[in-house]
Amino acid sequence: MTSEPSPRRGVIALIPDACTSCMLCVKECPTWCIELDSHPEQIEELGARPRTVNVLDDFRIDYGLCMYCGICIEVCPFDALEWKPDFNYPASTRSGLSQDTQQLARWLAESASDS
Amino acid sequence: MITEQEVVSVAPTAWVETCASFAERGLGVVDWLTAIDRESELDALDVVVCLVNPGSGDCVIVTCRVDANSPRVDSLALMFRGAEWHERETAEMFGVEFTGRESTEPLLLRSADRTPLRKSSPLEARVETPWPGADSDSGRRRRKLPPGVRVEWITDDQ
Ligand code: SF4
Ligand code: SF4
Repeated sequence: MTSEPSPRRGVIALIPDACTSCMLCVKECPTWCIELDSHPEQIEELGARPRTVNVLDDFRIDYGLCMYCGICIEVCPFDALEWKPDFNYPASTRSGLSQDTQQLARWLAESASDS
Repeated sequence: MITEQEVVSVAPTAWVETCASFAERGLGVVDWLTAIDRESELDALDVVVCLVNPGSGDCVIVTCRVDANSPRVDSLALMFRGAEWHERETAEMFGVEFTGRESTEPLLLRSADRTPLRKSSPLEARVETPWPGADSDSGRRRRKLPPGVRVEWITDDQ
């Protein structure tokens, strides 16, 4: 163990399978930097009435706007967002700072193997 | 360490006098001064000042409540030089008039007819920017406005 503080609040990663597209994080984010697309799908299971679930199409966080307040992580009822230590994700264009579902999920995996 | 601070609420008529008596007891420096918009509950503004004793670090918060439609209170700037800049800022941002001092010229804005930190002041960017949290057009739920945005700010062409 070192006494160095770990850069734990480097990035916010998404667990896409845990996200129910409930929009709570999108609504609560003070800088409006989360965007989410989803569509409803009918699920039919044997012995149960068909039910509708929202299927996540795209989840984006614009790290050019994010102020790393962590509110999105706090409000998520499904623990689908997590702090991860990665901090090195520059871009040469403004729009390049906006990260999509795949990248957000990749951070989750990369960090898990690092630690 | 954050400790509970003493808060003293006084009438606007006792504002200067109360602060002067704290100054006599050593709390003679204005740490900060601002206002809080209580509009929604009370149609009032609270003017707030934090006085400190720079030697001991002791501090006290003094507040007075003024009418939101004509917010006016005597200036502390003659007694506390440190209040000068904060009163200018509070005048500019909240529209509070500080009487008995030289004019409170705006620090940032070119015109004095806007008071951006009042809750009634339209958040133009929030009206113009599409809110990512708006419910999709499924019609299941009524359209909800983004936090802090008032229905009267929305014009028909939006
Ligand atoms: S950390 Fe704060 S600013 Fe960044 S996405 Fe989450 S809620 Fe928005
Ligand atoms: S709050 Fe959690 S579950 Fe809801 S949309 Fe955001 S990440 Fe997904």
